[in-house]
Amino acid sequence: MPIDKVTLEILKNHTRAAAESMAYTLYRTAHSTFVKETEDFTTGLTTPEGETFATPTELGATWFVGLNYGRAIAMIDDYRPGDIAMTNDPYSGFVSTHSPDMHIWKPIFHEGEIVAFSVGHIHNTDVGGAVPASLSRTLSEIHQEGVRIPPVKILEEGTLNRQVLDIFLANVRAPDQNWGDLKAQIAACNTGERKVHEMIARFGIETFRDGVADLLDYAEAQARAIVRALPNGAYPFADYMDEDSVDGRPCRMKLTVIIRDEELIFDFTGSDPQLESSLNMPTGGDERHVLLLVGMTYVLYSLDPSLYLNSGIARVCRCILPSGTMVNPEFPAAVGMRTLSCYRLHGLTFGAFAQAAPDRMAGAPGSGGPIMNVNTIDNRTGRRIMAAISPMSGGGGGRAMEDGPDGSGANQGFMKNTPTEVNEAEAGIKVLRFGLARDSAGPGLHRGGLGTELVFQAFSPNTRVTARNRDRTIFTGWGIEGGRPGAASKFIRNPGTNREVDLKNTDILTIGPGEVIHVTCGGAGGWGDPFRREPEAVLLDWRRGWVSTGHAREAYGVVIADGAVDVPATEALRADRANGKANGFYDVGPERAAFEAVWTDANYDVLTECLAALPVHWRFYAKHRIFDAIDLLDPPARRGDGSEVRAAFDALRAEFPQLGAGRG
Amino acid sequence: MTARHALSLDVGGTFTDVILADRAGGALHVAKSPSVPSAPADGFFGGVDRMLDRSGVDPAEVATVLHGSTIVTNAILEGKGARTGLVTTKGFRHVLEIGRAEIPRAANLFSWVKPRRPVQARHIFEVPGRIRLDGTEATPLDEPAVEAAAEAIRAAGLDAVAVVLLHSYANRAHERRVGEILRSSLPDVEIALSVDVLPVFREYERTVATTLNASVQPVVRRYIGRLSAGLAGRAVEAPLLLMKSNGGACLPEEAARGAVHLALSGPAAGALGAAWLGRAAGIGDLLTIDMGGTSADVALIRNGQPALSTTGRVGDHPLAFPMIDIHTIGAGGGSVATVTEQGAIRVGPESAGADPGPACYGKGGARPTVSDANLVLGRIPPALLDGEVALAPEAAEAAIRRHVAEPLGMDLTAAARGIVDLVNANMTGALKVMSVERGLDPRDFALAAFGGAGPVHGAELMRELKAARLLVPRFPGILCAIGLLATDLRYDFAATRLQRAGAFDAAATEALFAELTHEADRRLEANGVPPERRRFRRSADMRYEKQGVELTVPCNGPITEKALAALIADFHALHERLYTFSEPAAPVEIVNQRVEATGLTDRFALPELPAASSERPEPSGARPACLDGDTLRPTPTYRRETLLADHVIEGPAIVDQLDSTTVLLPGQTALTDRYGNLLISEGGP
Repeated sequence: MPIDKVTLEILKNHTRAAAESMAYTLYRTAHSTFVKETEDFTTGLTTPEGETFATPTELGATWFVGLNYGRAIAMIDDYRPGDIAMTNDPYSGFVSTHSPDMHIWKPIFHEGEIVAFSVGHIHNTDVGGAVPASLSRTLSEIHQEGVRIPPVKILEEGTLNRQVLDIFLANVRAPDQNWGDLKAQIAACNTGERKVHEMIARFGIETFRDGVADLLDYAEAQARAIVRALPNGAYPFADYMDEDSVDGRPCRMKLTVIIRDEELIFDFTGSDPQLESSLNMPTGGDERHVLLLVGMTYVLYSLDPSLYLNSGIARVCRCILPSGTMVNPEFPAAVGMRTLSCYRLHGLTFGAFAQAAPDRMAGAPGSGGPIMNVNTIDNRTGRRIMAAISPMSGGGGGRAMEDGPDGSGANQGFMKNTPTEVNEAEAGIKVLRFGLARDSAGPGLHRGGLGTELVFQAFSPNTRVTARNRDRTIFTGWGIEGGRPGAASKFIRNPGTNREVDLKNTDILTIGPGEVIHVTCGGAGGWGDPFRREPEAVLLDWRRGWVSTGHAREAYGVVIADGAVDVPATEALRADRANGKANGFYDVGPERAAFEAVWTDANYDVLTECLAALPVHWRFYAKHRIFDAIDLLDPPARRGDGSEVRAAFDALRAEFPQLGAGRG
Repeated sequence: MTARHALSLDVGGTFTDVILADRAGGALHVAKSPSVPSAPADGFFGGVDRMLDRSGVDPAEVATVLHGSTIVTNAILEGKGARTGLVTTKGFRHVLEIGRAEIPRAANLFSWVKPRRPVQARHIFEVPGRIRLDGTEATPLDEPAVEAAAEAIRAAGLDAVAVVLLHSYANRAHERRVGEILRSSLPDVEIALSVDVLPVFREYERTVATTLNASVQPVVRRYIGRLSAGLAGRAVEAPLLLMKSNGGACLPEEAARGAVHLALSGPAAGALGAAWLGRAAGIGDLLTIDMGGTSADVALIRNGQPALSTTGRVGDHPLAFPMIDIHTIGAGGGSVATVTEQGAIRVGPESAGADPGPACYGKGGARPTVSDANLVLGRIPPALLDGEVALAPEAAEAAIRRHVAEPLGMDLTAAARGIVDLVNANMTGALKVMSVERGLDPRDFALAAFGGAGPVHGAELMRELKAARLLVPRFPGILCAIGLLATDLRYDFAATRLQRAGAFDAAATEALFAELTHEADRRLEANGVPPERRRFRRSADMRYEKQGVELTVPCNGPITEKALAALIADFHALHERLYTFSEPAAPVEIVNQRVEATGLTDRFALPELPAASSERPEPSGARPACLDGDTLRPTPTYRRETLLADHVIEGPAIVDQLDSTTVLLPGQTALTDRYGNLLISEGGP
């Protein structure tokens, strides 16, 4: 039964405050640098069925609004007061979406009955496995990504399950940190439990129950109203990660957003098959999995910032997730780097919605900057240090009203960076530069935000550096409405020396004392024609050191001489623009345009159809063989209508009779 | 003739509250005069002149002038500081621009605009030279580069410059040297060094504090110059003390140098005032709520002292030095009630402000506010300021009907009640942030409600929080000016020296404390504080190894091995209280050391009321009011000015006074104490 509006509003404040209070407890007590400085964690309250009805607004990661704990909760039979369960296994319950994310949940009882769960996760800096920090694109099986704990009670009626804890901690590289973080999570869940009891005492159990249901309905109604205001239609868009595996082929994600009155369909048909790298996104085929809907939540929330964030929002959308693809992989595909796929999916979602609301969306968010860990030895103490250093953030895309924010403001915005004074103390490195990368912004009438860059030096031999989510060294962040793409990201070893190496999308390497690493995040895409940008605005960026003289000239047609705009030269240059025209609504940059001249939509449609007909374990192999075949074609033989892909596939089947006859 | 009066001026956005207090506890003159936002010194002297004129007190009899000012807050919030430059370590000129890279959770991803930084990127200059984190020098300072920066600053015509070098907290030499070079090259430019403003680690936060300080230094220096000249011109010879964010005062020269420390001048005075009244009433632990027209400030008093925090903000800027721990929310009398598309009621944070103000002001406001709801419910009288401002109940009714009651199909009273309930819920949330989230139980606290609107809602907040008592000051509208009377000189000193677990050095810790104390002592000496009035308090910022947030733990007395052990035990205990657990076996680090220096000033006694001859005061009348439930019932009203010490009133009742109204719920009892405060508790007398 619906409760009255005033009470509902008050209850809403209480639930939000409860989640906030949990987050505060966790944040203040967590141990690892990653949690405390970057806030990669969540807290929340769910219904007994696992639907999240309250999340914090001030702290923590913003990705998991509306995470459904139902499948994980159901994997434990019998709950008693004082129990706390946990899992980090991406293939058990589909709550944890890669192994470092330890999710925990605590049943909250009222008069013997479960009335809610207090839940949350922390991204552990390391959970063991093949590489420090547990995550690398090089990994291909979940078993390499660290210890997996299927749903299990870590506390039974308040008593710690020491055996499970010992097994967990025996398999990780910095057990003190994991244990410290787990204690912070437990404290947060206990805070949530206390808050729920307070709410029940204040509102009564009936009002609490009804109110929670109303809150979910309320968010759903808000989300429906936002969708209703958008024009009906199908809005297809695709984007790529540079490589689907180490030195691999481009990895395509395709999304068609279908707006039908007040409902959304996200059709992922056309996305790449399940990958032999860890870029897969474990969704378990759940058509409302939160991992797929983060971009949608960002978009809806941006269209109406009063949107109440809970699982109710997810009810407006349904995803089409072909099985055995990177958005719905089968066990035991590795999933550790799903973070990068998620980032790309956010941008993809923004891009698709931009067709429906071009004045309210922006160019591509800055991307490709890594989250880095350093594993080295402190020369003074001889101790091994394992520390996360600053995540490299990108700027926001240019938008209808103004430039994108620099160095932050994109979809990574929930992660704080780490002060240099902390990085040097905790990670045993010397930071030579931390700043904004010149010329990285996507040019536009309103340019994209600049990416950040970091240059640091190691002091000890065998210093291992992991740089997760490296990407965008080939395909750059697109501009819209005439805006141009942002610059590619960079990852360079010993820049400016004769030992310089372009590391491209490498995500793990070992360096020695004195060696220098330079890393930048790709720039965000611009909005609108850069040749219409105010020359004075370009000059200001030049004076800030954000745009070079050459870039001002090339990208904006602005000639700067003696510290001022050369007006006649600028006017002449701008009038003479021969190749300044953008390629339609999206400007995806020359690298992607060249790729898509071969790999047309029609070719991809046939590829998708052919691969879908194969057993899952053949698909990635077949994709690569077909790419090889197309590479070998003479350019005139590439018609781009799908026929060459069909021919390559038929040849493959002829080569391998075990694939069976007939057309796919 | 001995000077024995304190003149206290709290200059707010609209009004300047002035008090002239006799040190001996005699007369207390109170006045309100209009502020002049365009020329703050004019508003200040408007108040001074009005008070001297009204009281007839000889300017020579004024012993101290105490001042709370919004000049720094406004300069920061409106971005009206001086044109400021920054000199920083090579490789790090974008630190300020990048910030911590996070965007506010509530921000619209596609329209968020990064808050403007105190220094523009093109006015940031890099100099080579590098200090390591242990304080040793890795690269010598490049002095010619500093001179080149000075030249560029001159060429850009900047008025102020901040100096923030990497790891300067560990070794101040490079920054000091940069300061010297800049001072000799740029004699007319204000200079702020991070080692003077905030010598602790985390470069972005330190840069924000230092650049903000530099940017408001010229503003404050000019302002103070005007005040000093104006006071001298009026033959007021008394020293001028300015209220700082840490709840202490400072002399004008210190205020100019540490200008950013005035950022929370006003709210700090309010908390100090509440703390003082609480101490007088024998209540050491208070939660305070100061509710005005647009916002409510919540603060915490423990053991008679306002709680401080080092993680506060002013506007969009983090300010990481000790400031009164204030939580501000958009809940005031002018907060607007709206109904969303989905049929939910919202109250605030949008405010109708002073103009047009609530609908009931009759100045053209058509949207319903908290004040309109209070008027419709009879909780505030139909005229304010003793009839000077007549309210328009029909306009309030129409606004609530049209914008809340009709869209939701509620009756007028229920809709007004809903608005009040929601604003109360918002304030309760803020009070819980200040108590529960800090590991404190509101039941152990009394609530102090002040500001014009605070006493209207205090009784409900007390009941909701189950707070022990409610204190409503005798003059709720001018508590900040009263708080100024209770202020001492106070300066904070801090230094970062990271000590890892197992490698604590008691002698070095003691030496650093001694150094800080020496610096503090010299400052008080320079301020003319005699030795017997100097007080020093030590504390240490500590954390578990790998934690990113520190707790400040008091540690008075010399640091010995034994004292260090006690300090660690205190840290575990504080952690346990705040976060429900501690880890006695886990390694603990000491990060920062702090010394708080106080110069005690002369005390002014609160004036007392005569005792009442009978327990029950006479009601001034009655009006229909809805104090709880959902109907208006005849409710007795009292005039605050007629109350004497020991008077007792039982709720339901309403106590009206010049600038506020106190609501007393059924079942509550109010006792007037000898200072005129209402002490309200649940249950009978």
